[in-house]
Amino acid sequence: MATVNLTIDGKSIVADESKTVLEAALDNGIYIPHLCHHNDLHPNGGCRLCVVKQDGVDGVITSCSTKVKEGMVINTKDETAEKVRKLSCDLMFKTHPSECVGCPKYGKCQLASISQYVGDSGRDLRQQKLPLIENEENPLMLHEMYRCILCGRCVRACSELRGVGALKFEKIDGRMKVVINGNSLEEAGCQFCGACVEVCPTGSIRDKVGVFKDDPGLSREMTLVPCSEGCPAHINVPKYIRFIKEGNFPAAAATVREKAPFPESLGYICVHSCELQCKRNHLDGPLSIRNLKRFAASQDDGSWKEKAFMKAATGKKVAVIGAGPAGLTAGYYLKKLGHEVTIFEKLPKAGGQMRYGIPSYRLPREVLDREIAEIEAVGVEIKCNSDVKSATELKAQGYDAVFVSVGTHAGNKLPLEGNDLPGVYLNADFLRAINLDEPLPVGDNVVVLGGGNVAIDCAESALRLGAKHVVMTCLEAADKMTASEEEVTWAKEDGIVVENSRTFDAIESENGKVTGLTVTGIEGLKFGPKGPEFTRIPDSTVTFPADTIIFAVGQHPDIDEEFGLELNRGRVVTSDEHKTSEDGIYAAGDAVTGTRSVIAAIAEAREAVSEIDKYLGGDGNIEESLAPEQTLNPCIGKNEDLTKTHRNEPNVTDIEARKCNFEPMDLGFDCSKAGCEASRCLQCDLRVQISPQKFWSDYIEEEGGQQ
Amino acid sequence: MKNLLVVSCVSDDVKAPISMYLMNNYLEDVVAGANKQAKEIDADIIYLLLEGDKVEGLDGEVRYAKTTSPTLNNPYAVAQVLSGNLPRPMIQDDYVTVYDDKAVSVITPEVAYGIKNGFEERFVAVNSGDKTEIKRVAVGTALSEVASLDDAKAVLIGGLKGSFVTPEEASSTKIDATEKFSSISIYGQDQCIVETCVQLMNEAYKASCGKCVLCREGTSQFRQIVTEMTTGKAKATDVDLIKEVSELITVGAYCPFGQSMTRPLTSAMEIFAEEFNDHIKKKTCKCGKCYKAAALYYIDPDECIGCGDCIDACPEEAIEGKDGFIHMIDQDLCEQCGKCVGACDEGCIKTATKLPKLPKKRTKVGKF
Repeated sequence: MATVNLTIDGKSIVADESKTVLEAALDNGIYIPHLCHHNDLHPNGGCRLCVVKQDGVDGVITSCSTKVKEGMVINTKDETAEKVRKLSCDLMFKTHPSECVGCPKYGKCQLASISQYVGDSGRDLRQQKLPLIENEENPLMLHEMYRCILCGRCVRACSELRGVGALKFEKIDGRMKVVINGNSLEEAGCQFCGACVEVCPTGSIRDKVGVFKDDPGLSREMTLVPCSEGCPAHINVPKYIRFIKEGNFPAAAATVREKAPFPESLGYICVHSCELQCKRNHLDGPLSIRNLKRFAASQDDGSWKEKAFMKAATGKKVAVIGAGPAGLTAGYYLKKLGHEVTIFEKLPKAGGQMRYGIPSYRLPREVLDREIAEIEAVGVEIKCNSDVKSATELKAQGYDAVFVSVGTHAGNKLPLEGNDLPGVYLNADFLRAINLDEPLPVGDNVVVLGGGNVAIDCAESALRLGAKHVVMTCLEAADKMTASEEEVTWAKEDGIVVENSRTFDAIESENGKVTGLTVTGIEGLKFGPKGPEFTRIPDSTVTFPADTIIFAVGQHPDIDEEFGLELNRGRVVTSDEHKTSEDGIYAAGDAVTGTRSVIAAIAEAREAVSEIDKYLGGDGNIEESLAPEQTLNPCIGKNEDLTKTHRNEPNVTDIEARKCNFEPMDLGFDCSKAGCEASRCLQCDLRVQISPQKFWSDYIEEEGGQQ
Repeated sequence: MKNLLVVSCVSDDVKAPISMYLMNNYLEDVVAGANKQAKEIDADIIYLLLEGDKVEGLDGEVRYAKTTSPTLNNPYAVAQVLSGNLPRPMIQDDYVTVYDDKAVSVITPEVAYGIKNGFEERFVAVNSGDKTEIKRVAVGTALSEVASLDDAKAVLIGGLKGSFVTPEEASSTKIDATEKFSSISIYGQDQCIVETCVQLMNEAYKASCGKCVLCREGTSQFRQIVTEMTTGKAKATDVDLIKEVSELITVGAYCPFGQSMTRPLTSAMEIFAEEFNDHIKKKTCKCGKCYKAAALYYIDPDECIGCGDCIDACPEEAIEGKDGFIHMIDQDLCEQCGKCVGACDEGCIKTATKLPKLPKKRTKVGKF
């Protein structure tokens, strides 16, 4: 590329000939005020703030739309240019509210920043305030156009950048306005990409409160891509959804695997925090991200393997206690980092809660086996039927580090009368027994205590073991249950009765045999520091007949002081770096946090692996690019189906066919449903590509940096 | 890339409706000129008309604009209109406007006519009173031969972008080939020059495409300030304000229209300084146009019963007062709509060109 020499404010500058005067100045730490200009948009020239004086040219020139030329001499501080800028600022503020403090954009407003820089000339021009009309109809964006200074960046972003054209200029009663190109944003073809919000310099077009997290600690990318932020492992959700839309399913699976070694299992059972954060929740319901993941993972062709890193052996030995999701993940990455890994597992097979907690009708064991085999394939040794009584003793056997991921395999028992009778089970024991092929006997009438996903697993399993009448009862009201909505719906379809807002009084028995559970209705449930608080509803005590009672009210690690680590309420105590009380012993997963989720265990294990690697002398880097590069096309175009296509539901086995066995019941998506669902994605990541707004202080800091 | 030649019939100044005149009266010449130009640059032709306009006998692709605009001789603005948007010009080095994969260039029917017949003759719109007459004139003709200057008070040469001159100056002016002579407007002795400027600034506000702050807000400010000169609200300092702001707009506005739209007002203020001064300071209009129609409203403090009816009726919230207190009209906010007069059962809202003594603060009924 050819370059030209020019002088700006007395400074000799060499600039690429394709640059504008404004770009050349900014690149060299010389700030010229500008407002309608935006890095990603074609020069506009309307705000008149970037005018400068060019030697030999009458009047002023528009620096944002004038290319640099050899020998140009530019003065940005020319008196006339500064007067024009001031006038422009004055004029804009005649229609813009003068009071900044009440504006939500206060402190982040480019207009305010510029007016501070340019200054006020105090001219006696007329106030021409715009009517205070707000448009809150749009589910995602708020239009308060009385703040609009008509820079047109939103209109240009929507048409030039996105190819959508949902916003336009219109003269209303003689006054120019930015309006929606139709009766509603949907009708205007809005793709809800947020580009308009991203480029708006004032508080005119904003994200509605609650659409994004307002957490200054989050990076811009994590703030703007809520699904990835919501995922504990920060899987690049928009990227793999885009691969699915393009039909490149192996690439989608590889994208998931970059952050988690169990793509397909997660596709079956992930708690999908991503979906809870999905921006489409505010429109018509979230993307079915988990089912998309599942479909993509089922199409994995292993092509990612050639890109996966595998470091040379370090000679260090690491022991992992517990072959659940955390332990397997840790083993996998530690081995890839070059450490020799042995995983000790108490139970006969690896998998942890994925095998001994989650029933097989939710997660087929061949899927799990396949994914564990991938972990073994990198050279991780898994020793099953190996109960480790003490982590410290194990470390003393010659391991450089130990990772504790024993999970929560002991169920909590509430202090209820009759809680030790035969026929009273704990969730963990009940589910484990089924998966050890030694199911505990269930009677005709089963009552499950608890309202989470494990409680549903227990209730559904009891049904499948032959129970005739299954009741679930919990403190929480129907809309506050921790179990996922989908699971509750299916449970009810299967005939399981859910009794909400009840406190458990006593287990009834006759002659040492369980006969029922007495409960009382409650209201005003709150969880205080000392546990649940509520008011009992008088005369609402009833007894549910039962011959089997299952506690599903939480689980805790099945370890004690003998294990050698500091515990708090039964859980392993760790620092932020996942260090336990003992040097060289790290811990993560449910054993530390209490029962959470597979994806949380994976995410925490990955963090812990980095720490362990650093402890062992490595750099702690486990990031890898397994998926191909993806080129994002910012031009979305006007896809009229986007808002009309609603969430796809998975194919599910008929009720009668599913409730009598442990065969998979949720069949997920087929190819066409997956493609259709992927096309619903609002592509929040496109907004991250838009250059962030800068303020004059940013440029001046840059200037300082260069000097 | 292919080329597209747009014959824009929608860029005329409101004071120079020449394009459609040519399309209706000299269609063959316009078409021949356009074809010649198109052949030269190897371009397809589109005729851009105003929605609702018809040209008898026009053969070729015709597209319609929703509005006329002085920017519609700019290729980018034309492409915006062809895409269904409002016109906005793009003035930039080496910028090529592309529409429908074709590089856009624009000519007016007048230029097309000139390409066919040469530029020794030109068309001039002569406006006088409500009448507009379009004349074909040889370049070099004296202005006085084209328009009658008898009884003229002022002559505006160049429409919304033009300048006022005195009849004396006009009589010694020869018509040349420049754009400004497409419009000559004669204002008679009975015309109020301030009121004329109100109309011109209203037209300028309407014509402004709104892209550039200086033109958009400048026309909006000027039309308000000049209007205030005809209603007694303007301040003595407004003359200097307009002059100072105009100078900056002339230098700083984005396009030729924006740079020139202040000229009618500033030239009028220079030539007719006294008339402006009378309006602003003495609040009188010798032509009797301004203050008669827009007298100041006030509430007679001796008759007001403090009922609040006028307060409710005022769309500008310009009336202050509460129950039992004499109501007062804030002259800065009053738009002279007269709705309060109809709302007042007591008939105590009156008009005057000069306000009588009125309460300045809240005063109980009967205590003034």
